[in-house]
Amino acid sequence: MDVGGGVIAVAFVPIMNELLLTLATPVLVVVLITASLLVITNDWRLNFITLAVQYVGAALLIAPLVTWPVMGARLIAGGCVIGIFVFTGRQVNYGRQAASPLPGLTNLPALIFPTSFAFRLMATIMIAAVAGYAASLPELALPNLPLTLNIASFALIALGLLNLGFTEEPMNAGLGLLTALTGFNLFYPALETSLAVVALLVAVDFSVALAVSHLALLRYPVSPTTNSTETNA
Amino acid sequence: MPVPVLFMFLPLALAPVIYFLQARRNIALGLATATPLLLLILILGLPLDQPLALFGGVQLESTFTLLGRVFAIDAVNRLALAFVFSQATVLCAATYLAPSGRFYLPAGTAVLGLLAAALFVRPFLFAALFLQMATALSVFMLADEGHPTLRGAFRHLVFATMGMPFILVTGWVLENTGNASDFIPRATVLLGIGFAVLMAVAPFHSWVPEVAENSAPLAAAFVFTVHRYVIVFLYLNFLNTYDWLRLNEDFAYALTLAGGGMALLGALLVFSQRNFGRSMGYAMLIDIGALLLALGLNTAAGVEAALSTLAMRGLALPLWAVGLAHLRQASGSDDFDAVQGVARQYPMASVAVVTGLLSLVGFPLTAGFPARWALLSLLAEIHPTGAIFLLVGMVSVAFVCARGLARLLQPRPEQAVGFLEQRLAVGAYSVGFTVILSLGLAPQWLLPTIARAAAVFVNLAR
Repeated sequence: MDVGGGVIAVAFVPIMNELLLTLATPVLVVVLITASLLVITNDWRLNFITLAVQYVGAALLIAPLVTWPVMGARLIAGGCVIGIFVFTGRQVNYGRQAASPLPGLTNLPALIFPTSFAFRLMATIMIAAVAGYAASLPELALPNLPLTLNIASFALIALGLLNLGFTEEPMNAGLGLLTALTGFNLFYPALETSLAVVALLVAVDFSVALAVSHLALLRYPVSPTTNSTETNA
Repeated sequence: MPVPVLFMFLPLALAPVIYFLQARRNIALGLATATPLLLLILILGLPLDQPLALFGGVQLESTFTLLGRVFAIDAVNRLALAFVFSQATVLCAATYLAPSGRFYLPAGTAVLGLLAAALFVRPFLFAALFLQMATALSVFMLADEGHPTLRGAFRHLVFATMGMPFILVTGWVLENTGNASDFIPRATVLLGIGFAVLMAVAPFHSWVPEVAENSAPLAAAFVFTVHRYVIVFLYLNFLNTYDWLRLNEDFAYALTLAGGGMALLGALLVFSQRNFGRSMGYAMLIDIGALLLALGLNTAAGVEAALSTLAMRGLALPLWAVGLAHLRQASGSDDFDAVQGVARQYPMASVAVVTGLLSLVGFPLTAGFPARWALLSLLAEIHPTGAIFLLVGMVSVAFVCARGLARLLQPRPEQAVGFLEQRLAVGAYSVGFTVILSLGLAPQWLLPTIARAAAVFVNLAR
């Protein structure tokens, strides 16, 4: 069985890597869109989905450069982070109007876009363009990494920091922080391949998610009767 | 038996126990205080790497390997952990006197395990990862239901997370760039930025006054001492290990500039404060400035001054924290307007807050003075401007203290007169004042020991 599994793995991995390299550009586009959406919108539910897609995209981008267990660890870490956030979001009704006391009525309004939507959109486009340009410069680009990974890494770090600059609301700013960390995690495991470092980076993501959730729970009252619509714009 | 395991995992294992024991307050407090005390005794006294006849020849190993990374105890991290555990013992014991959040003791205990791991890990650049996790846990201490202003805690998390990649990438640059002329400038810049972020050098300082003002005073004191000790010791370890960094005069000059700038910034910002917590935040900036100025001297005397500054910070902050917690309990706030007349009911708490602030900036007759005087003497010969900035900071904090003290003493109309302080608090304050004043008058009781301890940095002591 082992021999058979090994043969399958030997045949399967190069094909997968080739496929992933072919898909690198579309995945890069998806990752950039997710990072941009996290800056532009403040709706927790949309942002959690976006972050989940971003984690999957980031794992696919880095997959050809790292071993499969490392990619798996990144995906599992992303899943745990999203799980923590969803659990937190449910506790505080996703940072919005208190839940309806009537059973069956969720009382969730439509998606929230901040009032500074146009400004955020412009800033996002500009920062993404600058990050993409910087990643293509040989003197700034990270050595031994493909261009797609360089662009994704620069753009995620830049857009994550931009998100942090726009808001101090713990959940949305925390998503910005995690986006920046994902950008760092795109290139660092490719440079430092030890399993200990991968495990510690996963633990860092996890600890940030816990801290952000704790702050979000403090900011938004859990009680369904509390009418605490703190604007998260 | 690998001893690093004990220091890393015992606090992490006990943290949830302490959390679930909080209904039995005395047991939780006792366990939380005993843990760092026990670890302090062990780190100072355990004989490592030699057979112990008492335990049937069992050898306590100083190294431990986990997932290919080595965790090792050496003379430097023994000294660092002695600082960390002694401070943690005092700050945990202080919860008998002053309220702290429900996460203070468990999170603080867990943080000790992560900080120990940060000091043990080899290569020590990976310490940045453990420091980041310790910061994330400290968020639980800094913000809780009783202290719902989140800005300081969140910014602390953000800056620690931002600083981590710079330190990690420095390690990669060191390992993978062959030519010294290529890697030295890059590694120096990366390391400089990383430590500037972690040490809260402006413009990465904004969390310090926020935490001092809005978090539980004991939690703030924990972060300003226990956490900072590890960062400073890691920096000293870098200097001790890498010749290219130690011999880089430009880097030392940058530290001096940063230190002078921090001292001046703190002096300017503290002057207009009307809140005891925030005043401590800005006084901390002055103290960070003093630390950087000492490190910027790049001499053995500078290292001794830096360690003395750290030790004196550890004496001043618990006194300030307990006093401030009592003032907040008494008046609901630590704004000067809110604490009017409180000194008539809580004289010792009022004096403790002021004494803690003054000792932190090295005011004469306090414990902080001899160490600050030694630093000022060193600076006067090499960087007199830095010395002047530190003096300006001291005067500025003294003005704030005088203003605050006047408000504390000013009676409120129809205020009930009476001494409301508890007997236990009076005893603790008396011990605190005695220590602060005794060390101010007789520094030879402590400072020579600290100066001798600096000899563990073999290359820096030359």
